[in-house]
Amino acid sequence: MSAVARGVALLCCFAALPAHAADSEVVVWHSYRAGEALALDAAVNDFRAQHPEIQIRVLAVPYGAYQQKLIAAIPGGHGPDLFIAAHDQLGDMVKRDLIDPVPEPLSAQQFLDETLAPLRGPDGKSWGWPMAFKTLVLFYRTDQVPEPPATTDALIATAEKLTGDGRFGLAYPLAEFYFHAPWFFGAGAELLTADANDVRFDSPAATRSGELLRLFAVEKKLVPSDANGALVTEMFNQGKAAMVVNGPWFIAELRPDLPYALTPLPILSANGTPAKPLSTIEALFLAKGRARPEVRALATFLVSDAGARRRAVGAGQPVANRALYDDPDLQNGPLPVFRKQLTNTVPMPTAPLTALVWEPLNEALRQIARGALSPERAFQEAAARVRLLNQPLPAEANPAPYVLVILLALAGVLTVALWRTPTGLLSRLVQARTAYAFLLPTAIGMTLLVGVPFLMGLGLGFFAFGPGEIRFVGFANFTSIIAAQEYPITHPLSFYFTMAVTVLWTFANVSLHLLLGFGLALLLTPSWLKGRALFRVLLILPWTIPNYITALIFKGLFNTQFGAINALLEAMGLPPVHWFDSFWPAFCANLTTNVWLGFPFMMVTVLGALQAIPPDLYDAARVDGASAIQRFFKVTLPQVGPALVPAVVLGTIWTFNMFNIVFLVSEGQPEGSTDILVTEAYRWAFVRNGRYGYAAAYSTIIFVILALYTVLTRRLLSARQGARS
Amino acid sequence: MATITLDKIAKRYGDTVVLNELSLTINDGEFVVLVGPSGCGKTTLLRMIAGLLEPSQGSVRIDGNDVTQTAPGDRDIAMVFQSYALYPHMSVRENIAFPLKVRRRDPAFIQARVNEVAQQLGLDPLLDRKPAALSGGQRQRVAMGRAIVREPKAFLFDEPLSNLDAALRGRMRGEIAALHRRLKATMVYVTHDQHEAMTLADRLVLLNKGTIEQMGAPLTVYQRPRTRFVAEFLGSPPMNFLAATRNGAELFGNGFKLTPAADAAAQPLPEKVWVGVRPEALCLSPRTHAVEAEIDWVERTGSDGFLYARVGDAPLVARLDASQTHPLEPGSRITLGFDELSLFDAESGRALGAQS
Ligand SMILES: Nc1ncnc2c1ncn2[C@@H]1O[C@H](COP(=O)(O)OP(=O)(O)OP(=O)(O)O)[C@@H](O)[C@H]1O
Ligand SMILES: [Mg+2]
Repeated sequence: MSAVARGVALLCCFAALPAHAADSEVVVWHSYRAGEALALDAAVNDFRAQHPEIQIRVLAVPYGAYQQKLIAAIPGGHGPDLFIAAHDQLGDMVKRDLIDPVPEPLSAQQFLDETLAPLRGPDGKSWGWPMAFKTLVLFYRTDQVPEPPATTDALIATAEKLTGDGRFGLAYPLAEFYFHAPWFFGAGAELLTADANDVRFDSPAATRSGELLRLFAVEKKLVPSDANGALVTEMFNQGKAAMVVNGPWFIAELRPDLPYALTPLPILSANGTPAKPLSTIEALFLAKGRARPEVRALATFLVSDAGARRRAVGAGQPVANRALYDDPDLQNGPLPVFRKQLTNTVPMPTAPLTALVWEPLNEALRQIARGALSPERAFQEAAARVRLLNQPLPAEANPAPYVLVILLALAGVLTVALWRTPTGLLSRLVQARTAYAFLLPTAIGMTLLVGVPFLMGLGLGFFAFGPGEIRFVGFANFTSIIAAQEYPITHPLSFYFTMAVTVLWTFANVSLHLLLGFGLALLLTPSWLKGRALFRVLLILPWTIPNYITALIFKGLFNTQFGAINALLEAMGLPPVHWFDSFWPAFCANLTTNVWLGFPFMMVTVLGALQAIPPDLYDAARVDGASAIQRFFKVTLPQVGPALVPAVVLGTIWTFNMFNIVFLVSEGQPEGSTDILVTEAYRWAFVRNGRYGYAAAYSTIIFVILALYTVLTRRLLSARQGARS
Repeated sequence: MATITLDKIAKRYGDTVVLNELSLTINDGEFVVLVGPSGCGKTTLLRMIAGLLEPSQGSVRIDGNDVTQTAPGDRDIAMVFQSYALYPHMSVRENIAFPLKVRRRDPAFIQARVNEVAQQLGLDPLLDRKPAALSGGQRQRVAMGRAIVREPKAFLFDEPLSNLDAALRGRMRGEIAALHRRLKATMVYVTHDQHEAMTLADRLVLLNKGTIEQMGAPLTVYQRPRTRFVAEFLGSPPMNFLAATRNGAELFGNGFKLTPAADAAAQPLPEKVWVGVRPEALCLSPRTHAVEAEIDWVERTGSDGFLYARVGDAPLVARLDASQTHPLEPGSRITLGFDELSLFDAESGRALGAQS
């Protein structure tokens, strides 16, 4: 075989890889990791042993892009035959026609009712094989909690005894609705109305759940106020948290020798009903049109008791099969506790409106947890916010005038270009064709990587995206943003408030960057300073670390209970600061992080500019009688200044759009008041139900502001320089 | 207007000795030119007078006041740098006004003074330009203007003309001489250029390896070099040196024999000496002394003709009238005569009394 032929064959292999291979092969996708992935592999291997004639390929797809990949791959025929997903995506998948129902009826003797119900369609057909479920239970340290609390009153009493000295009786991420859900549903509250067209959490029941949260966080201070998942794990492992509300994945994160146990969540003492966490059913789905016998055989095996046993024993998965809960091997493990809890759960809702409720609900919880709002007000505001976000799309606009304007503008530009182009342009182009040939790859690259996305972003701003719908709306997005009628101008969610914060943020950052960068550069300049080179490298380091890592580190430093900064304050006898509870501390936390990240750039620029000043000038100035201060203002500054202008313009643009810091450090808290325009744009696109058009309009507005700023600075500077020379 | 006294000043960087306990008094109104090979410490000396460098040892006095610890700006001394060191972001006017401005002089006075200086130096039409828009000569003038505007007690020049072309250098030399005559200020001037050194100096100071090799009126130093080093350094082309051995009253060298004048015998000559002859002292007819030489090549520069020859193995240059060199051909042998010669101890390099 010639090399070329081999190459072609190899290429064909690669081309075939992502595609759906020969029909004899069964392809399974999942997004499991570690133990769960291994257990699944083990189950598949069992099946392979029984059916050596069936080719099977199991593909672990990263969770982040899972759904998008399914949506893209299945209709194109490149996707899996079977895939594992959570039940709350069912509605969307059915609407997109990605899956077929399970061909045979599923036995209620084999599977738990709670796992079957959420997979059932209105016609009674099952849309997937239930595999496992995930829900929350109460973990407790057996060395600290002798008797697991059966009621919330008991929980509070136990926790109170164990709280103090940097230790907490209870820990869970307070401001995440998923973790508040047990109290919310236990108190009898509901997320949506029966027709799923409106929210229902401005109710007395929701308020009652909020009262419980207040009791935990504000009145008794039993729960650390800003604990995230990682911190909760660490606290529980170290014995700093005696009880934790968490799910089955938590077990893998615990120290092997840890003395702990699980128990179902307690009964709410206020109304005597058990706490009801959300439950998610993980199911095996059959891709559209792939119901071949070998596919069905594999599916049946994977959800069989034998297959489930692999997952339950191997990975501690709370599986859907009844039989496993009578298995003597698993009797004493954690699984029976999850099964018990499952009878008191609410399946994760799937209505489209739910996508909009999480952010406002989390904000409401945060407000309650820091005592800023009464539970009643907080839930009311959250409901109002969801209703605001859930407004119908703007009316469809007639695209004709827009197209006409674009065409006229294009024609105008073209005529002007042709009219102003000197004659003989074509012949000159032909003459210089080699040069243009060399430019071509760059031109194509720039067009594809910069030009096309830019124009698409620009265009996107003229459309509105609803659930399953795209509509041309003209300038409606822009007018809605600029009119900003939803909130008064002083409200943190108002466009103009965000804009003012962005300007303040940019100004404060760039000023501090300049000041610090200039100061350090001056300090590092004198030749007598020993270890100059070392200091320079050390001071450039913050810049070389990816900024999201720095952001996460600072986020940890600013943690209220466990952060180093509050520890330092306490060591100095000062009260700890709740950094993210009010605007200025949160803003300063962001500012500190970004100043830390940004000063090296200015320092390097100034150092370079300083080194370009001939030392003779300083000698001359000294002989001329200039003092050190005069030398700085009359020699150094005027020489460094011009070199700093591009750095300042660039720094301004970077800071204006410094997404990572704001998004990761303050997360916009409190109430979104520290959000800047880009993080707000991001939220519109990715948190608030995919309002891509609105987000694109935000981006266009940001672009216009920055473009105006750049042009203006250049005008001002050239005017000043013109006046000088 | 100022007497500058350097008292045993030294400058060392670690083990490197740049200036070694040097003492020098520059009199009021005197024009002193510092010369010496590259790296001998001229700039170092100048910067210590200006106060830009602190001496490792010794003191600097101006009019009797010890200024060793005084800041440069308070010494009332102006300096013109080789690079001119003009402030690039300031106009010519601002550059010249700078020393007065930082001293917070009255704006009306500053303006009058700047105009006066600009007029003296012919800078009036350039006052609003930036240095980048000036020629080398114009920049040089601005640097001078900035120095004279505040009428300092003394001026320091560090090779101020070395960046200019020959013609401009000649003119500026004249202007500096005129400036000195007009201002009657003390001036210390560092140069590599023999012409500048000889024409400008009231007193020439020749530095070598951080010490003063010789100083005095330029002509004296030229005519009576105290060491072979001085003799070699001054004059272009430099003095010729022929190795010779004494035998009684006669000196024998490779291809020549000389009898120095009798008054030298007052001082017994050492065994081995260098015979120094200035190129312009040589002529084509036999004189008091004569040497046999073989011609290597001849250079003619209009008025002068330079004859490059060898006496034995030693190279020799003679400066003749261009017309005299026409019959000479490379390879031919001739006799060169001279009246004046200098003798130097071959070991120490010291001059052995004036010879004729
Ligand atoms: N910072 C320093 N450290 C060590 N040696 C130095 C330092 N500065 C100058 N020197 C040495 O001091 C000596 C004198 O320097 P200086 O600049 O005074 O010479 P110069 O006579 O002005 O020479 P040139 O004619 O080339 O300008 C040089 O040999 C130089 O290497
Ligand atoms: Mg020098």
